[in-house]
Amino acid sequence: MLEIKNLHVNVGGREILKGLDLELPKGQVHAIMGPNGSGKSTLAYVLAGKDDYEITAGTVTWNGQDLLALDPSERAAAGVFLAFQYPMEIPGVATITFLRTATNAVRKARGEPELSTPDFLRVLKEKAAELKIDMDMLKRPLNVGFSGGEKKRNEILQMALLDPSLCVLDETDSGLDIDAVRIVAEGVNALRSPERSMLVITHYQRLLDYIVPDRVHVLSDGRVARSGGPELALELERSGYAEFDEAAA
Amino acid sequence: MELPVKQFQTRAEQAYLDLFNAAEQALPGAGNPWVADLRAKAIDAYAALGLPHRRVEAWKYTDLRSRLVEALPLSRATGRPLAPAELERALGGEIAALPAYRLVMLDGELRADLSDISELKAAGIELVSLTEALQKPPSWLKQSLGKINRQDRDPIVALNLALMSGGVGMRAAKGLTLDKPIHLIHLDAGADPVSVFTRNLVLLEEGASLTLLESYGSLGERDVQRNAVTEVQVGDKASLNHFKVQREAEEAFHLGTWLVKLGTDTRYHAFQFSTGAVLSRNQVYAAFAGEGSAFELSGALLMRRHQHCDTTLVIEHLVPRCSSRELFKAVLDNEARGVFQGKIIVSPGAQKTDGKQMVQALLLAEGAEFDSKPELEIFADDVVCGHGSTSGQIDEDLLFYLEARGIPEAEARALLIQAFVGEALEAIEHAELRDALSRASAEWLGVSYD
Amino acid sequence: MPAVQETVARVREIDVDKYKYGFVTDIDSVRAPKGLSEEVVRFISAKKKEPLWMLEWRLEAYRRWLTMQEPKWANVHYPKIDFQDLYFYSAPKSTEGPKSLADVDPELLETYAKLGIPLREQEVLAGVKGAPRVAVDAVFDSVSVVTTFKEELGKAGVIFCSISEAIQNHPELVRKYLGSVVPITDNYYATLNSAVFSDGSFVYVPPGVRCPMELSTYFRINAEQTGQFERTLIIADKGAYVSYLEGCTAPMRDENQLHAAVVELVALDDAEIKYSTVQNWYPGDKNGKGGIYNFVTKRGDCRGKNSKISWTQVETGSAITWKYPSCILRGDASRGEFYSIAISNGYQQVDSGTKMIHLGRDTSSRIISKGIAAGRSNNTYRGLVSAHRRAANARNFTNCDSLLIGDKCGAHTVPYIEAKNASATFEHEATTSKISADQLFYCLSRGLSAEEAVALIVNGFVRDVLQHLPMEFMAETQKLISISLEGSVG
Repeated sequence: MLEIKNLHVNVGGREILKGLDLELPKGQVHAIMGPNGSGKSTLAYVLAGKDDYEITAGTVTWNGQDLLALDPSERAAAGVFLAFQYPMEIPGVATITFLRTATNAVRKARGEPELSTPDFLRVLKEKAAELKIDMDMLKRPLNVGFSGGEKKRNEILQMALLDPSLCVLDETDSGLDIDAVRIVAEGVNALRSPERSMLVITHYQRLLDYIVPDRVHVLSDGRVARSGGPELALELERSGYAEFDEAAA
Repeated sequence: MELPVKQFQTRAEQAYLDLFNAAEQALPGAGNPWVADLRAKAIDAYAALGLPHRRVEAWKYTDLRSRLVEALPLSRATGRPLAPAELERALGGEIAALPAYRLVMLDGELRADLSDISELKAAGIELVSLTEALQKPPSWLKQSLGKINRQDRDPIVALNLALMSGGVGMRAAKGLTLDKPIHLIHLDAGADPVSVFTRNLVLLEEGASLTLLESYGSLGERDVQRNAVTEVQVGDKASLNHFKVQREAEEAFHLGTWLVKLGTDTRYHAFQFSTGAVLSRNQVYAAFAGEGSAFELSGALLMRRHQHCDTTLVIEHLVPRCSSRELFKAVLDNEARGVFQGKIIVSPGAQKTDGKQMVQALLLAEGAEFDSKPELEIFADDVVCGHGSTSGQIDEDLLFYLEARGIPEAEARALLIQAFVGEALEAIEHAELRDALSRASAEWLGVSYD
Repeated sequence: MPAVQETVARVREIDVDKYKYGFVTDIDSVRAPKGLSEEVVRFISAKKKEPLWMLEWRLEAYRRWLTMQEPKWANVHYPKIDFQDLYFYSAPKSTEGPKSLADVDPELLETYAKLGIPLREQEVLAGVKGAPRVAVDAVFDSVSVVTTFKEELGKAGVIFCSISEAIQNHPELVRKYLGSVVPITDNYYATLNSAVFSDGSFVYVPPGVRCPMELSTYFRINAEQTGQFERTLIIADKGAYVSYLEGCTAPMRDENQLHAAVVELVALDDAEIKYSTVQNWYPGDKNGKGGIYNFVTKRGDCRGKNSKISWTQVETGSAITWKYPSCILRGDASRGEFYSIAISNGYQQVDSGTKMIHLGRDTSSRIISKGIAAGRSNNTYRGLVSAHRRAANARNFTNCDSLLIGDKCGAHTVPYIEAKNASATFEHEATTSKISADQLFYCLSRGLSAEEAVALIVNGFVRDVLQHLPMEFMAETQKLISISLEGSVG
């Protein structure tokens, strides 16, 4: 279970999160929605442990463990996975090399045996096929020259390989056409399990047609302004964020 | 010979002249008027130029006059044995083990007992040691030595010509190809501080194709001043893969120069890899003498502590329709300093020239420094030329991405540095060497390679 | 494409090899004795009724200059200058008295009108409604003949006058800042200028003031065998902003004339100075005879935190140009910019660029340089970007592109990039190419003439820089580019 209490975060001297509270029980999928600038991506980065995000107050625990005390790689080992809105391009690092390095680093940290290259390739082929990812694509440098859809599928592939218990999907649908959204969403749905919690951050309701959440939270001015069931997303689709913008102003 | 009347400003400058005067009669080829003339003209050129210092534009960032405080005695043949383990330590196991025709030079002396001379000759290469050649030069060598892309204004090249006492000359006849690379192994061998002046001459006749690896290493930890020149002439339609790996001890000064001349429709692919020496300067002068040639030169240097590594390239497009490509990567840690100077010259009339150059530096520590001077000098209009130069630290966003995937910070950094260097290594078509250098960079980073 | 049509129309009006501003104004002048000596320095100082400290400053520079060597590192070639064969001071007789617009010799007003620089404020005001007003300091040979809009600027607290007046009326400001960016020992020509500078502009913008209009100086060399040595000093106090334009022309003469100016800019905390130059000195004739030697030292000091200095230059004139408008980024988080278009044709030689010296933390700089070489000219970009030990997080982006028109010209790029701080991020890119045959063909096939097509493509090539010019200069510059390239298409 993820518990966020009274979280205050400054970026570049400006307060972005202003006392955010959130509970995400094990096995559930919650959506975070909100207008631009409400702090959605900040929340994602804070959970993954990016530098330059100054936590001035509040706590974040994951299954009782203080998440904020951990380095980004330790968080990954502890089961936190962030699917980036803008996955990084790393020329010179073959995608396969990166995937194997990450998988084994996480396995090692969890006390699991590292996968031999043939074992790893077997797992990789299987997961890649589910996401309709061509093995040739994985021989190319990480994300370099990938289309928007390929990058996002690659993120989901990493999610499948690293076997996280908390997935944070940051605007995973941005820049994707409807077919790509469907493929990505199917990949995510396949990973839904009673052992895995997910936080789906999105500006639009569209993605939630495919990944149906248990709860929806609306972020406004650095706080959760409203929570509700999946119907809240539909309501927002109709009325927009105007009400929340006003609240923030 | 008579010395020119010139007041020298530093002890080392004068010391090289003294060295020359004292050794002249004992240098190989003494008494041979051809050699005497070569040496005399060269020492005069050096005497007129002096040791380069920072007010000399081409040496702005590498002040040799202040760094070379004395001239070490000239190296002598030692006859020292060489155990395989020593060779491995000096070059790195994988490089030492590369299947190749080996030519081993200890302090400049070509060692027949350690080299594959007869095999190489049997494969069709004409081969002489420089010592032999200066005494009884074959005509092909006499015609070319000191004349390929000669750089009379370069004091280091002049000093080398005046004092050359080791190296090899070789010629690949028309159309010759070999089954494996030729590996020129230069090691400094003795226990006493020495200066080593070697000069190699490599001629490829029409349509010949060779892979040549020059590696430089140290068997001990003593002061060495190395001045190594390789003259390369690539005949029409010939092809040369030319590599250099410099892993000398951190006591060494390494001044290396390649003088390259390309004929018509040639292909020249080169790579330079440096991790050694306290001060190194890798100079490449390349000139296109025939149309339709393709030149590619890449390199990687990984430096730390107080190492200083200077790469200086002068690429002269004298004729139309040639291309040149350079990609260099510098990784600088601690107080290390990297210097890159790359000049592309396009002469009047050298139309359809395509010249591109890129240098990128990664600074790992606060005290590291990188100075770059890419230069274009263009006198023809129908050209596409460009250069780029970047320097900076490891991209924090990339690092975070890797860490967020569970890769610990130190490992993530190493992976990014490896990838950075790897982009340059990709230019090496010789797979075994590429892998060996990839492992050498990993080793430098302290990463075990699985 | 009305702009292109207009450009081409303008080009046709002018005969090839005719410089538009090449006329001579017939006017009586007072000159210093020919040649350079301590006496001449004293003569200039006395003419200007300068205080003793100023004379001593000049003499110190002169003595220093005697010990200096002419620099040789630039990629320019010219016969040795005989400094004893030059006049170092020449002023229209009529300007000896008090300077108000009414007192200005009508001949001079006519000259400036002919150059397209209206000096009568009412003319400016009577211009197109809503058009931006520009205050002008007009410098003719060695002296400032008039400065417009002084009163209105005075109301805002902005001081805009000739440097001679500033020495008389604002000695405390001049003493504090003159030579503080370009010291008298700086380089051969700057030191010479320090000894013999005759006039130039002075600007002081007080704290928090945004200068209410564009300021500009128009330099005109008229007299023969005369060097022009102007000195400009601009200070933007804390939080101030000023935009300044500089234009220059000279008559066509067979001799080479020397122009060795010094410009110093000082930006204190949060201040911003935008300095634009359209340099159109006489470039010499088609055989390379005559023209101005433009040996100029321009430097800005971002002295305060968060300050900004931006140089924009359009260099089309002069036989030889040797100038590197630079920024010393001393204040933390200060910013420097350099935008340049340098066009050379005929036998012109250009060696120009910039220096961005990062000294403070979090400083950033940007260099965009577009060089165009045609005819038998040589065009060199020379630049330095350096980050010193303390300059943590320094950032630079440099883009230098060169375009060659014809196979008798040369384009050269000589950047020096020195990162002495690991957290500095430097990016430099440069390209050299000719006008793309495909682009030309495309334009021709759409009905443009070769001249129109080249003008269009070159204007596109320099667009990144053009957009940094003040609006009123932009159109003028586009025309100037076409004119400068005239005859370059075979």
